Amino acid sequence: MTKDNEPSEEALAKLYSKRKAAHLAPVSIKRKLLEKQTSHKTTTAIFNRISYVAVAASTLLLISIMMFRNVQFNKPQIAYQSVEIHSLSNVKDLSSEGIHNRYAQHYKDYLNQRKTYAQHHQKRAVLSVTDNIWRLKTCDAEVMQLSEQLISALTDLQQIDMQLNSGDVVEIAFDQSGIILGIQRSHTPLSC
Amino acid sequence: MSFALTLKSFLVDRHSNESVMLRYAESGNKALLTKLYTACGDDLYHFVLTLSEPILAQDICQKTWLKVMEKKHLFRDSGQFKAWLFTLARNLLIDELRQGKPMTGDINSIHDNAKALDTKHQQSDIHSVFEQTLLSLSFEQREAFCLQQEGFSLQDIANITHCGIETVKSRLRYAKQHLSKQLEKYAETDHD
Repeated sequence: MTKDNEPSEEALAKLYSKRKAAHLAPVSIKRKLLEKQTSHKTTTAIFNRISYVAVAASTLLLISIMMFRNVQFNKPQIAYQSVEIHSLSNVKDLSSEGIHNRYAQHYKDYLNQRKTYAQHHQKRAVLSVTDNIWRLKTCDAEVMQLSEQLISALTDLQQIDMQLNSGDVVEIAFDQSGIILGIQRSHTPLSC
Repeated sequence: MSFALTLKSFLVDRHSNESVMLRYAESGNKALLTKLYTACGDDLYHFVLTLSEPILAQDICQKTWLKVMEKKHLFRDSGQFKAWLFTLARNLLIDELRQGKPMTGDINSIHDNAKALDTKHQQSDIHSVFEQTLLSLSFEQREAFCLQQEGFSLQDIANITHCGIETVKSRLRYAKQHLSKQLEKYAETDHD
């Protein structure tokens, strides 16, 4: 038996190596692989670039939103109260002085209304009638004078007890905005 | 002295398949992939070819290298690149075989060849005998023998083929016995 024919580990290894040398990988595998690698890399590069652009754009957008919000937050907050004035006037006074006067009058009315509203929880008062002028005196020694128009309006609406006399204790009904809706006799004496 | 050793180990380590693969995983550099292919391309093709047939082997090799490109981030520093490569190829081959793709070198046809070999050697040289005998081995014995010839340890072979070390030993023993027996027969015939 020649050395080549010897069925030893070494001989098997030699035969295996020779067989391997006779069956090399076709060049086409390598060529196709490198082509794929190039296209794969190009695709990956494009994808990476798109992702970078997307990240940059979203970061810019986020920064813009944050800056806009900061500007909004830093704006001085102006406390204001809106007063809606509705009136029908027959007088066609369109001069600036007339408008100013009307505005002043309405503002005065508004302040009075606020004052009345502040008292709305004090529902009970003592009626005082002098010279046909109705006044309501509360426990805080505040006096509210009722206008004739209000009394006549409440009378029309039957929201005022016409049997009331001076010195009677009355219950005053207010609405949410402090406007007097009705005045009725109270059967409970007022104890301040 | 220690500096020289450190430098030598650094240089050797830098050019190892594992180091090249890690650098390729990081950079996707085409040159590094070419280097890996040059180092393992022929070994892989021969291994797959021994377990299948040329067209399928070419197909499997291409798919394996594509997987290396696509799954490069999955390669672990601790692993041996060649073992990882061969595992990928073997898994792909098994999948193909399970899908029932026609193979000229499948196990049944190889066993038929083996029977023919037992009766009479018609080959003119020892390389043909080796070739025929190798292909007459069962799939598992062939792959165990090839993997050992490729330099893998018993543990590596067990990992690649997903079986125990004892099973690998048994397959190798049978494969080598069979190869030796056929080669001895050839040697005797040759001398006669």
